Amino acid sequence: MNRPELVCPAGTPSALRTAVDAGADAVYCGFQNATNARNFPGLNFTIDELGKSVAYAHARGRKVLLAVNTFPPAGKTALWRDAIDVGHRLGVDAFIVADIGVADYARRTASDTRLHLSVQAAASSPEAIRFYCREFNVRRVVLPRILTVSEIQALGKEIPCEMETFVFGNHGLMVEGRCSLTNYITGLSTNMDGVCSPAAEVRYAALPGGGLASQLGGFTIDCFAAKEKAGYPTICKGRYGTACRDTPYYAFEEPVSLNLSPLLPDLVRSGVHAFKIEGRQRSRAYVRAVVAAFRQCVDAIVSGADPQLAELAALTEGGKETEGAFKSKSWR
Amino acid sequence: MTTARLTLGPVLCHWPPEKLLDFYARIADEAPIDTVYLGEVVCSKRVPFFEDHYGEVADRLKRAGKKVVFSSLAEVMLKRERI
Repeated sequence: MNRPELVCPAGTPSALRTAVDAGADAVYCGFQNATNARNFPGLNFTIDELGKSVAYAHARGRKVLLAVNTFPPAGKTALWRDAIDVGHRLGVDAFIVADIGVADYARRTASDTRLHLSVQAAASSPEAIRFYCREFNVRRVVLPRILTVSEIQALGKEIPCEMETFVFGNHGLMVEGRCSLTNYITGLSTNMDGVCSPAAEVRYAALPGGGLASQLGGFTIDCFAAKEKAGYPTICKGRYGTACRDTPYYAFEEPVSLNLSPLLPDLVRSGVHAFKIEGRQRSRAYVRAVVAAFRQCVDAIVSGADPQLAELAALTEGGKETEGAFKSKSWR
Repeated sequence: MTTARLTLGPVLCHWPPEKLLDFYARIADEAPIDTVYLGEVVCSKRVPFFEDHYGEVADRLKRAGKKVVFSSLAEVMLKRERI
């Protein structure tokens, strides 16, 4: 049985050390700018921090994967080239890229560093994945969260690279790397500026009766009663009034988290090479708990034991979990 | 100075064929558009409703001087979508 790699998120150097100490095989992170898809204030790494973090991980036999997974707008490609140049110089173990221009640049200038295809590229067919492998020598594809386990197994037989699947964390229904909802409200692009619902546009307004309204750029995304836990105003997870319902409802989707821990044995058997935990924006406590739980789970599966699934529901968004499309297409 | 050119993206709505035919007839006859993207990009299950009409729509748009580009699905997953 192959031993799948556990790929864990780090929004800060301390989260990276926490993930490594909790058992991550690889940690992914990004620079403090638009070159990565979690471009939030207070998150991500300076050049100096990344250098020290690479040293910390490598000293313990772990890997650092650099996310350079947004799409450079025309005429502004220097920032993305710099990210590849610096990452290469600091000795990261792989670049996670989505844009074909960035992939091409990395292939030509940093050919000794592995390329992973980001989920943001939304490559879901063997033809698409083989294109990236052939043109840019992509070694691993991070699969969009739309395939069932059996589809993943079939796909693995038709592509020449490793497969990585998300197993825990945020779960959006949009076509990966193509969502423009934030643009409509804030003028900033999730895919080019790297930020969905930028913090500077977020407000929480008090409602009569003690509730809270979560707002983005002046638009109310959701209203919470006094006893409800107020969520972050992510547009696709808000409650909206529409002509077809009397009361506001989750018109796109309910805020739920992906949790594939029950499907891990199937995914290992399906030939998945790496499991990814989402959440570079989450706390160190979250990283520690989730990474440790999945470490235990993966080790148990590999050694042939029954995995003891830790209680992770408390860490999921809104306390609700889903196996998404992985188990069945009927999840929506 | 360059002249601005207008491009119409593929229709994302699931309109009945008559409505779609009428829409493209008006684009051909009335709209100052240079390039028209045709094709189903959202869901392969919708394709049978309109696939017999693409030829005539493309011909009509081309006769009206438009450049026609055929678009494929944004997200390809199933075997039947790959053919």
